[in-house]
Amino acid sequence: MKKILLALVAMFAITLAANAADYRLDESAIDAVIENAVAVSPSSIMGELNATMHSNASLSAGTVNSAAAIILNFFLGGFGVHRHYMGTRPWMWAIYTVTVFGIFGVVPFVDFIVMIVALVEDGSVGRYCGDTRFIMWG
Amino acid sequence: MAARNFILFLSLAVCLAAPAAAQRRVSASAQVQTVMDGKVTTVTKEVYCSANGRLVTVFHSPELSYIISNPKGEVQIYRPSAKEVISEVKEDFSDRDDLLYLFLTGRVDDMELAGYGYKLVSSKQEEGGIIRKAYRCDEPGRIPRVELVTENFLPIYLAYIDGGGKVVSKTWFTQYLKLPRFFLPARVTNVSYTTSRDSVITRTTYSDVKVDPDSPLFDFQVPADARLVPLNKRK
Repeated sequence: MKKILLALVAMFAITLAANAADYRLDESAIDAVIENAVAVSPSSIMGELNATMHSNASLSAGTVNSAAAIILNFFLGGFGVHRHYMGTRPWMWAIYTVTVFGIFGVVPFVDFIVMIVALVEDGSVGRYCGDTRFIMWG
Repeated sequence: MAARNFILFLSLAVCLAAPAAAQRRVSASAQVQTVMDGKVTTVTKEVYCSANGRLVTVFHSPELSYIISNPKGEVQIYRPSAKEVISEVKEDFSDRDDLLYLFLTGRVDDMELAGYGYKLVSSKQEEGGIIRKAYRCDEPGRIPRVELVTENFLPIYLAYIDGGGKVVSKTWFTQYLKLPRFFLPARVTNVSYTTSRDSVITRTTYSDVKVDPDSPLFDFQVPADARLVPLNKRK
């Protein structure tokens, strides 16, 4: 009986510890990740963007303007505006609006980074146009 | 006599409190750091939030820009360098769930989840003033489960969980600042799990928080000579 009781107490303690770990943050670990990451400047990204925009002006005629898509993402990405600009399902804005709250703009920020990469590699964000998935880079 | 005095006191308190609440404004600088694939980008902005929900956000990088929004969904983006303004009105662009606005107006009980169709399904009280609440939403397009943990009635943890039980994102609210009439987390950290192995970390740090400062930016208006650019214009 004592052993059963002790086991139950141990399980309860472990559960409590696990649950406690869920909602407590190790800020020093996050500090370390940020300190060890390579800093990328938004200004440098926009500098490259402007240069690419000028060199690809003819490609944007009659199609989605890649620079506009990226700028829309930067400022209104949390609302999924850039996705509608590039073509997607009619309700995409709803998902972005909700998940911005929960994910605090991370998904649109990842969109921003992958669109920059596409612009550098392909010269446009065409690969993401018409994508109906919420995670267009998934 | 005592009852009459109490009613008088209560009426006075309400009269004094109401205009004070309506006049509340808060400004802050925010640094947003995002880490992905070993790279970190830092964006800083200044936010001017009024109790009526009007939000003016000023970005200095990559270029000076102003974003004005309100709970009605009216959004304007003004770029002084180009003298251009993008303007849109859509109820879903409402900033009613902006963090600063939520804490300023004290609507942190459920972090506005009810407004998005989430219903409280369970609430458990634990030691140390901890309350764990579980929410559920069955509407299409919503992440079905949310867990909200509060400590002494202030949110400290928020997690979104998909239908398969996998955590999509976690957010921690820490380093609370005690301000006149409300509390504000000085640091908000989010981890989103993009794949089974990768994640994106976003950390927002608020500083230089001022309550009811005298700043004209709270009432910033786009100049009348700014050129209006339609949101859905394609070049």
